[in-house]
Amino acid sequence: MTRNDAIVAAYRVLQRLYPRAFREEYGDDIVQLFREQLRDESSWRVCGRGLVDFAVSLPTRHVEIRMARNRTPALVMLVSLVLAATTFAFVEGLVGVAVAALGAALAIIIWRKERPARAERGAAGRWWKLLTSGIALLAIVLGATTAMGELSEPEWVVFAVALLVSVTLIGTGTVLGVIHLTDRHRANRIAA
Amino acid sequence: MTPRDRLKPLPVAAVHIVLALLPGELHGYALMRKVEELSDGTVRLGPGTLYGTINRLVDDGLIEETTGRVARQDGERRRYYQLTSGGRAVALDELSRLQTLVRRVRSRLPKDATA
Repeated sequence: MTRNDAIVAAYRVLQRLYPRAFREEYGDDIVQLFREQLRDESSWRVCGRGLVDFAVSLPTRHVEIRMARNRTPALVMLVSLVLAATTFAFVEGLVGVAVAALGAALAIIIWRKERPARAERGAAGRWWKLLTSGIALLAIVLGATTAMGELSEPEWVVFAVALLVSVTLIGTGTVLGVIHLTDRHRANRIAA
Repeated sequence: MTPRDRLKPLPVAAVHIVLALLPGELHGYALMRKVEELSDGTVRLGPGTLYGTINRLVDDGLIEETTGRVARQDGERRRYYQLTSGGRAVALDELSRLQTLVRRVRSRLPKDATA
Protein backbone atom coordinates (compact mmCIF):
# COMPACT_ATOMS: atom_id res chain seq x y z
CA MET A 1 0.00 0.00 0.00
CA THR A 2 1.47 3.37 -1.03
CA ARG A 3 1.24 6.46 1.12
CA ASN A 4 -1.47 7.91 -1.14
CA ASP A 5 -3.51 4.70 -0.83
CA ALA A 6 -3.33 4.99 2.95
CA ILE A 7 -4.42 8.65 2.81
CA VAL A 8 -7.36 7.76 0.53
CA ALA A 9 -8.37 4.92 2.88
CA ALA A 10 -8.35 7.31 5.85
CA TYR A 11 -10.34 9.88 3.84
CA ARG A 12 -12.88 7.18 2.95
CA VAL A 13 -13.36 6.44 6.66
CA LEU A 14 -14.05 10.13 7.30
CA GLN A 15 -16.82 10.02 4.67
CA ARG A 16 -18.84 7.87 7.05
CA LEU A 17 -19.55 11.01 9.09
CA TYR A 18 -21.56 12.56 6.23
CA PRO A 19 -25.33 11.94 6.29
CA ARG A 20 -26.16 8.50 4.88
CA ALA A 21 -28.21 9.77 1.90
CA PHE A 22 -25.47 12.15 0.79
CA ARG A 23 -22.75 9.54 1.34
CA GLU A 24 -24.58 6.90 -0.67
CA GLU A 25 -25.18 9.29 -3.56
CA TYR A 26 -21.80 11.02 -3.73
CA GLY A 27 -19.38 9.21 -1.37
CA ASP A 28 -17.55 7.26 -4.11
CA ASP A 29 -17.31 10.35 -6.33
CA ILE A 30 -15.89 12.43 -3.47
CA VAL A 31 -13.22 9.81 -2.75
CA GLN A 32 -12.41 9.45 -6.47
CA LEU A 33 -12.02 13.22 -6.78
CA PHE A 34 -9.76 13.29 -3.71
CA ARG A 35 -7.66 10.49 -5.23
CA GLU A 36 -7.28 12.46 -8.47
CA GLN A 37 -6.21 15.53 -6.51
CA LEU A 38 -3.55 13.44 -4.76
CA ARG A 39 -2.32 12.22 -8.15
CA ASP A 40 -1.85 15.76 -9.47
CA GLU A 41 -0.79 17.81 -6.43
CA SER A 42 1.34 17.70 -3.30
CA SER A 43 -0.25 15.27 -0.84
CA TRP A 44 0.28 17.62 2.12
CA ARG A 45 -1.53 20.44 0.36
CA VAL A 46 -4.38 18.15 -0.74
CA CYS A 47 -4.73 16.71 2.78
CA GLY A 48 -4.78 20.17 4.39
CA ARG A 49 -7.37 21.51 1.94
CA GLY A 50 -9.36 18.28 2.16
CA LEU A 51 -9.58 18.47 5.95
CA VAL A 52 -10.66 22.12 5.89
CA ASP A 53 -13.27 21.31 3.24
CA PHE A 54 -14.46 18.33 5.29
CA ALA A 55 -14.76 20.44 8.47
CA VAL A 56 -16.79 23.08 6.59
CA SER A 57 -18.97 20.81 4.48
CA LEU A 58 -19.81 18.21 7.17
CA PRO A 59 -22.05 20.45 9.34
CA THR A 60 -23.52 22.05 6.21
CA ARG A 61 -24.63 18.68 4.82
CA HIS A 62 -26.19 17.69 8.17
CA VAL A 63 -28.04 21.01 8.47
CA GLU A 64 -29.33 20.64 4.90
CA ILE A 65 -30.65 17.17 5.61
CA ARG A 66 -32.39 18.37 8.79
CA MET A 67 -33.93 21.33 6.96
CA ALA A 68 -35.16 19.05 4.17
CA ARG A 69 -36.91 16.87 6.78
CA ASN A 70 -38.62 19.85 8.44
CA ARG A 71 -42.26 19.68 7.39
CA THR A 72 -43.51 22.48 9.68
CA PRO A 73 -43.61 25.23 7.00
CA ALA A 74 -45.59 22.98 4.62
CA LEU A 75 -48.05 22.18 7.42
CA VAL A 76 -48.47 25.87 8.35
CA MET A 77 -48.99 26.70 4.66
CA LEU A 78 -51.66 24.00 4.36
CA VAL A 79 -53.45 25.18 7.52
CA SER A 80 -53.35 28.77 6.24
CA LEU A 81 -54.89 27.74 2.92
CA VAL A 82 -57.63 25.71 4.62
CA LEU A 83 -58.33 28.60 7.01
CA ALA A 84 -58.56 31.01 4.08
CA ALA A 85 -60.90 28.75 2.09
CA THR A 86 -63.11 27.91 5.12
CA THR A 87 -63.42 31.51 6.24
CA PHE A 88 -64.22 32.69 2.74
CA ALA A 89 -66.92 30.01 2.40
CA PHE A 90 -68.62 30.28 5.81
CA VAL A 91 -67.97 33.69 7.39
CA GLU A 92 -69.93 36.50 5.80
CA GLY A 93 -69.00 40.14 5.62
CA LEU A 94 -65.75 42.05 5.87
CA VAL A 95 -64.37 39.91 8.72
CA GLY A 96 -64.56 36.76 6.58
CA VAL A 97 -62.83 38.42 3.64
CA ALA A 98 -60.16 39.92 5.92
CA VAL A 99 -59.33 36.61 7.65
CA ALA A 100 -59.36 34.79 4.31
CA ALA A 101 -56.99 37.36 2.81
CA LEU A 102 -54.71 37.08 5.86
CA GLY A 103 -54.60 33.27 5.58
CA ALA A 104 -53.90 33.42 1.84
CA ALA A 105 -51.17 36.04 2.35
CA LEU A 106 -49.53 33.90 5.06
CA ALA A 107 -49.61 30.85 2.77
CA ILE A 108 -48.05 32.83 -0.10
CA ILE A 109 -45.29 34.24 2.17
CA ILE A 110 -44.42 30.73 3.44
CA TRP A 111 -44.44 29.32 -0.09
CA ARG A 112 -42.11 32.08 -1.31
CA LYS A 113 -39.70 31.58 1.58
CA GLU A 114 -39.60 27.80 1.39
CA ARG A 115 -39.44 27.17 -2.38
CA PRO A 116 -36.02 26.06 -3.66
CA ALA A 117 -33.88 28.76 -5.22
CA ARG A 118 -34.97 29.29 -8.83
CA ALA A 119 -36.86 26.02 -8.99
CA GLU A 120 -39.61 27.56 -11.07
CA ARG A 121 -37.30 27.73 -14.06
CA GLY A 122 -36.80 23.97 -13.85
CA ALA A 123 -40.56 23.50 -13.66
CA ALA A 124 -40.93 25.21 -17.05
CA GLY A 125 -39.12 22.24 -18.61
CA ARG A 126 -42.10 19.98 -17.79
CA TRP A 127 -44.59 22.02 -19.85
CA TRP A 128 -45.06 19.36 -22.52
CA LYS A 129 -46.21 16.77 -19.96
CA LEU A 130 -48.93 19.12 -18.73
CA LEU A 131 -49.95 20.06 -22.26
CA THR A 132 -50.16 16.48 -23.59
CA SER A 133 -51.99 15.18 -20.49
CA GLY A 134 -54.46 18.09 -20.77
CA ILE A 135 -55.11 17.38 -24.46
CA ALA A 136 -55.44 13.64 -23.76
CA LEU A 137 -57.90 14.26 -20.90
CA LEU A 138 -59.91 16.68 -23.06
CA ALA A 139 -60.09 14.10 -25.88
CA ILE A 140 -61.25 11.39 -23.43
CA VAL A 141 -63.91 13.68 -21.90
CA LEU A 142 -65.27 14.81 -25.27
CA GLY A 143 -65.16 11.24 -26.66
CA ALA A 144 -66.94 9.83 -23.61
CA THR A 145 -69.69 12.48 -23.57
CA THR A 146 -70.32 12.04 -27.32
CA ALA A 147 -70.58 8.27 -26.86
CA MET A 148 -72.86 8.54 -23.78
CA GLY A 149 -75.33 10.97 -25.35
CA GLU A 150 -77.72 12.42 -22.72
CA LEU A 151 -75.95 12.99 -19.35
CA SER A 152 -77.53 12.75 -15.89
CA GLU A 153 -76.84 15.46 -13.27
CA PRO A 154 -73.96 13.62 -11.47
CA GLU A 155 -72.40 12.83 -14.86
CA TRP A 156 -72.58 16.53 -15.73
CA VAL A 157 -70.66 17.37 -12.55
CA VAL A 158 -67.92 14.84 -13.43
CA PHE A 159 -67.87 16.17 -17.00
CA ALA A 160 -67.54 19.77 -15.81
CA VAL A 161 -64.74 18.96 -13.34
CA ALA A 162 -62.82 16.91 -15.93
CA LEU A 163 -63.25 19.69 -18.49
CA LEU A 164 -62.00 22.28 -16.00
CA VAL A 165 -58.95 20.14 -15.11
CA SER A 166 -58.08 19.53 -18.78
CA VAL A 167 -58.40 23.23 -19.65
CA THR A 168 -56.24 24.13 -16.63
CA LEU A 169 -53.58 21.60 -17.69
CA ILE A 170 -53.58 22.88 -21.27
CA GLY A 171 -53.43 26.51 -20.12
CA THR A 172 -50.62 25.90 -17.61
CA GLY A 173 -48.70 23.77 -20.12
CA THR A 174 -49.01 26.46 -22.78
CA VAL A 175 -47.81 29.24 -20.47
CA LEU A 176 -44.86 27.17 -19.19
CA GLY A 177 -44.07 26.14 -22.76
CA VAL A 178 -43.91 29.76 -23.90
CA ILE A 179 -41.63 30.60 -20.93
CA HIS A 180 -39.43 27.58 -21.66
CA LEU A 181 -39.10 28.28 -25.40
CA THR A 182 -38.49 31.99 -24.82
CA ASP A 183 -35.72 31.14 -22.32
CA ARG A 184 -34.15 28.69 -24.76
CA HIS A 185 -34.35 31.16 -27.66
CA ARG A 186 -32.77 33.85 -25.51
CA ALA A 187 -30.03 31.48 -24.29
CA ASN A 188 -29.19 30.44 -27.87
CA ARG A 189 -29.13 34.06 -29.03
CA ILE A 190 -26.76 35.14 -26.22
CA ALA A 191 -24.54 32.06 -26.69
CA ALA A 192 -24.31 32.74 -30.44
CA MET B 1 -41.04 43.43 -10.39
CA THR B 2 -39.14 41.37 -12.96
CA PRO B 3 -38.84 37.57 -12.67
CA ARG B 4 -35.20 37.96 -11.69
CA ASP B 5 -36.13 40.18 -8.74
CA ARG B 6 -38.25 37.39 -7.32
CA LEU B 7 -35.41 34.85 -7.40
CA LYS B 8 -33.01 34.11 -4.58
CA PRO B 9 -29.39 34.77 -5.57
CA LEU B 10 -27.20 31.70 -6.04
CA PRO B 11 -24.34 31.15 -3.55
CA VAL B 12 -20.82 31.85 -4.81
CA ALA B 13 -19.90 28.18 -5.31
CA ALA B 14 -23.11 27.56 -7.26
CA VAL B 15 -22.51 30.60 -9.48
CA HIS B 16 -19.04 29.34 -10.36
CA ILE B 17 -20.34 25.85 -11.12
CA VAL B 18 -23.16 26.96 -13.42
CA LEU B 19 -20.79 29.33 -15.24
CA ALA B 20 -18.19 26.57 -15.62
CA LEU B 21 -20.84 24.29 -17.12
CA LEU B 22 -21.97 26.85 -19.73
CA PRO B 23 -19.69 25.49 -22.52
CA GLY B 24 -20.82 21.89 -21.93
CA GLU B 25 -20.87 18.84 -19.65
CA LEU B 26 -18.06 18.10 -17.19
CA HIS B 27 -17.31 15.48 -14.55
CA GLY B 28 -16.56 16.40 -10.92
CA TYR B 29 -12.80 16.73 -11.11
CA ALA B 30 -12.88 18.66 -14.40
CA LEU B 31 -15.54 20.92 -12.92
CA MET B 32 -13.37 21.63 -9.89
CA ARG B 33 -10.39 22.44 -12.14
CA LYS B 34 -12.51 24.61 -14.41
CA VAL B 35 -13.79 26.68 -11.47
CA GLU B 36 -10.22 27.10 -10.25
CA GLU B 37 -9.09 28.16 -13.74
CA LEU B 38 -12.00 30.59 -14.27
CA SER B 39 -11.34 32.29 -10.93
CA ASP B 40 -7.55 32.43 -11.38
CA GLY B 41 -7.18 30.03 -8.46
CA THR B 42 -9.08 32.18 -5.97
CA VAL B 43 -12.05 29.79 -5.73
CA ARG B 44 -11.03 26.25 -4.84
CA LEU B 45 -13.93 23.92 -4.19
CA GLY B 46 -13.09 20.93 -2.04
CA PRO B 47 -14.74 17.56 -2.76
CA GLY B 48 -17.39 17.91 -0.03
CA THR B 49 -18.33 21.45 -1.01
CA LEU B 50 -18.34 20.62 -4.72
CA TYR B 51 -20.65 17.61 -4.43
CA GLY B 52 -22.82 19.34 -1.80
CA THR B 53 -23.38 22.20 -4.24
CA ILE B 54 -23.94 19.77 -7.12
CA ASN B 55 -26.54 18.00 -4.98
CA ARG B 56 -28.40 21.28 -4.35
CA LEU B 57 -28.25 22.31 -8.01
CA VAL B 58 -29.60 18.92 -9.10
CA ASP B 59 -32.42 19.22 -6.54
CA ASP B 60 -33.25 22.71 -7.82
CA GLY B 61 -33.37 21.45 -11.40
CA LEU B 62 -30.51 23.65 -12.61
CA ILE B 63 -28.11 20.84 -13.57
CA GLU B 64 -28.60 17.18 -14.43
CA GLU B 65 -26.45 14.09 -14.61
CA THR B 66 -25.80 12.93 -18.17
CA THR B 67 -23.86 9.74 -17.46
CA GLY B 68 -26.90 7.52 -17.89
CA ARG B 69 -27.82 8.93 -21.27
CA VAL B 70 -24.41 9.49 -22.88
CA ALA B 71 -22.62 6.32 -23.99
CA ARG B 72 -18.99 6.36 -22.90
CA GLN B 73 -16.42 4.75 -25.18
CA ASP B 74 -13.73 4.29 -22.54
CA GLY B 75 -16.00 2.58 -20.00
CA GLU B 76 -15.02 5.02 -17.23
CA ARG B 77 -17.25 5.35 -14.17
CA ARG B 78 -17.26 9.12 -13.96
CA ARG B 79 -20.53 11.00 -13.56
CA TYR B 80 -20.96 13.92 -15.90
CA TYR B 81 -23.16 16.95 -15.29
CA GLN B 82 -24.70 19.50 -17.62
CA LEU B 83 -26.98 22.52 -17.29
CA THR B 84 -30.70 22.04 -17.81
CA SER B 85 -32.46 24.60 -20.01
CA GLY B 86 -33.54 26.45 -16.85
CA GLY B 87 -30.02 26.20 -15.45
CA ARG B 88 -28.61 27.62 -18.67
CA ALA B 89 -30.94 30.59 -18.46
CA VAL B 90 -29.92 31.14 -14.82
CA ALA B 91 -26.21 30.92 -15.74
CA LEU B 92 -26.68 33.48 -18.52
CA ASP B 93 -28.61 35.70 -16.10
CA GLU B 94 -25.70 35.50 -13.63
CA LEU B 95 -23.23 36.29 -16.42
CA SER B 96 -25.25 39.28 -17.50
CA ARG B 97 -25.58 40.45 -13.87
CA LEU B 98 -21.82 40.24 -13.33
CA GLN B 99 -21.12 42.07 -16.61
CA THR B 100 -23.54 44.82 -15.60
CA LEU B 101 -21.93 45.06 -12.15
CA VAL B 102 -18.43 45.39 -13.61
CA ARG B 103 -19.57 47.93 -16.21
CA ARG B 104 -21.32 50.08 -13.60
CA VAL B 105 -18.44 49.97 -11.13
CA ARG B 106 -15.95 50.85 -13.89
CA SER B 107 -18.06 53.78 -15.05
CA ARG B 108 -18.12 55.21 -11.52
CA LEU B 109 -14.39 54.84 -10.83
CA PRO B 110 -12.09 57.86 -11.20
CA LYS B 111 -10.04 57.67 -14.38
CA ASP B 112 -6.73 57.08 -12.59
CA ALA B 113 -8.20 54.06 -10.72
CA THR B 114 -9.11 52.06 -13.85
CA ALA B 115 -6.71 49.39 -15.07
